Amino acid sequence: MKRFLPTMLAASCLLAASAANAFTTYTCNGHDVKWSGNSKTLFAYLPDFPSGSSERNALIEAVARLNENSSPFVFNLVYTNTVPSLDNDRTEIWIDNIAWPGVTYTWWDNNCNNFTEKDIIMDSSVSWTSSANKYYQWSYDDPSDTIVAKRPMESTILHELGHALGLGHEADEYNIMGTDWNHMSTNGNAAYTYFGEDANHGARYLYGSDGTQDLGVVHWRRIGNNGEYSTHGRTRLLDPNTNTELPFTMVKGEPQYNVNRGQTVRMELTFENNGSAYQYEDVGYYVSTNSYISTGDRLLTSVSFGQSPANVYTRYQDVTVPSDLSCSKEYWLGAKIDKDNSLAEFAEWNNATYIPIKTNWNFSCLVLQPIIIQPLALN
Amino acid sequence: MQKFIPLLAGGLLLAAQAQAHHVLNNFDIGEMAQQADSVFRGTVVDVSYASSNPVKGQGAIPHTFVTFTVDEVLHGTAETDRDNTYTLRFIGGQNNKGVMWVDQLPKFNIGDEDILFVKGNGEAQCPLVECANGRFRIVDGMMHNEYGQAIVEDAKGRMTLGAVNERIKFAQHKIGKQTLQKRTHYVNGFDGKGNDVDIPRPEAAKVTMYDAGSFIANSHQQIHKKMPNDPLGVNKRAVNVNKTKAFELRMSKKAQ
Repeated sequence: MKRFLPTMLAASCLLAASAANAFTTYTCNGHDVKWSGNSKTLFAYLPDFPSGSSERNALIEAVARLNENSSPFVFNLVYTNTVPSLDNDRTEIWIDNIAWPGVTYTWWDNNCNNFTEKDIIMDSSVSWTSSANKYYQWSYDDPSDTIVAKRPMESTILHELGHALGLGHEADEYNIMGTDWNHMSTNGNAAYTYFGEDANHGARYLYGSDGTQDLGVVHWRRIGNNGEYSTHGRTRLLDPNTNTELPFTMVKGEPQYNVNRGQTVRMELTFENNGSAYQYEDVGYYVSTNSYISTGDRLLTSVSFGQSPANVYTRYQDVTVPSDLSCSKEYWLGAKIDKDNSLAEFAEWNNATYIPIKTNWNFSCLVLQPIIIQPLALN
Repeated sequence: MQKFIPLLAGGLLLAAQAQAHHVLNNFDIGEMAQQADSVFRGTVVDVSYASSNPVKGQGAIPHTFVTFTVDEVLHGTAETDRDNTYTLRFIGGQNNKGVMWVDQLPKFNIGDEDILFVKGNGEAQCPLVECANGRFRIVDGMMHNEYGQAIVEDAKGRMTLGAVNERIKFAQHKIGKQTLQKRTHYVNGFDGKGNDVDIPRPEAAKVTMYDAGSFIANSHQQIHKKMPNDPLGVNKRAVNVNKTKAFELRMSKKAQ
């Protein structure tokens, strides 16, 4: 049998082009379908989201992340004891035992232009977490600890809110409308879900721009798709000569790359412009003694590049691991965008992220102490 | 003998480009069949709509009834009508107020030819194994999933998902008098200096796609391997639904 193998293109250039497909929307008889205005009340069923509960915390955070989007559209969250139901002309969210982790039911009118109702149901049988501590989340599950990592409810609600705003699933970009639970912005031990460049682009397409700006960098990237959903994996540390991934060890649930002091490595990170306008910004690349990257860390190099608000940008940067680092010790390479804080952003917490490394022990680690010979004192 | 048709996927430039950094997905036909009440090949001959009867706390909800002629049964039994038709009921559809739509659900048009892994018809909101993943589409004789991804063979000889046929992915879908269509929005690359640039086009990629015959033959093999003692699913039955019979949707504890 004659076989044909797919031809793959090596992404050899430093400026890697992303996929050309972006967000999806729906048309009805040729019209875009969306809400008629720029705000909608979202009724949350109080018994499912009681005050102080983790479910309410997740909902509040998800709505806040949605409302940060760079279009004028917002959801106004109202808690109610009115029992929710489908097709009651109210847009609602509640928790029930359903077949999917989350689902959004959409209604639009016979004029085929506007949504009339959206209902979001979250599955009660899923083990959810609302913690921003990364070790409580699936994506950072540390098998060596006793914490039971769970699916972050906030990210799944945010995915459903994307549907409620008018977006469809998207497989061709790193984005929240693909796989939601590893679409995270992480620095240190905190991992937050966020709406992201692609969904913000879609929101602006449907509702226009509100003029707000935001940049971000994450250690996640698109690695493929599962049906309509993009799938995401960690960004890597590569050998610049071969463009292949450097050897790593899984440490606390994360890949920790083994590097030599003085070695030049290629950092892969995903940059996003979540705002309304093109930005040309400085990015600092650092090495840190902990996983929280800040401008207080040791600067390795600084670069400037432009970012369109219309494409996710997984970018490569070569840096040299300093020769004076300690041997056999953990460090974190990282990047911080808008390091001089020159841009007013709707979110400042998503500007830095890390890639764990550990320096190898080799002969360069041997420090020869000079031998001092004392003259023998003769009496 | 299995027959594979080579296809130049490079004509789908955007899809092929996306594929260049895809991790292809494998799926287990035997496992899906084990979960199914029945697996059959059929052609859509009718799509109609009816609403559930109101129950306490929940009004009438539109549903879509998709009727197939059953051309071939691969596993289990589909309880067809006398005219060899079988009807699946999905939540969503139209009523006098407008359209109800669920993103996760498969969308059917009359004339669609499919291989379906049926589970829970008449009870589940989406009566297919893994919902839309339980539908394989035959378009121009070649196999695709619900989203237009070609079913291809990977280097280890496994069924997997390949490039997207955008003609399928973005096909128009009729709901009554309304024509719905998923719309993707394309973006250019950029050169890091603020200039949009054309993203480099990859060379045409050659992949091995499954046609319907080879897919069915392979499915028989996988089903037999998974269930060697009952590859036919002798005691498994997928119930039919009657489009004219009243039904209720008890989807919620809040609607009890």
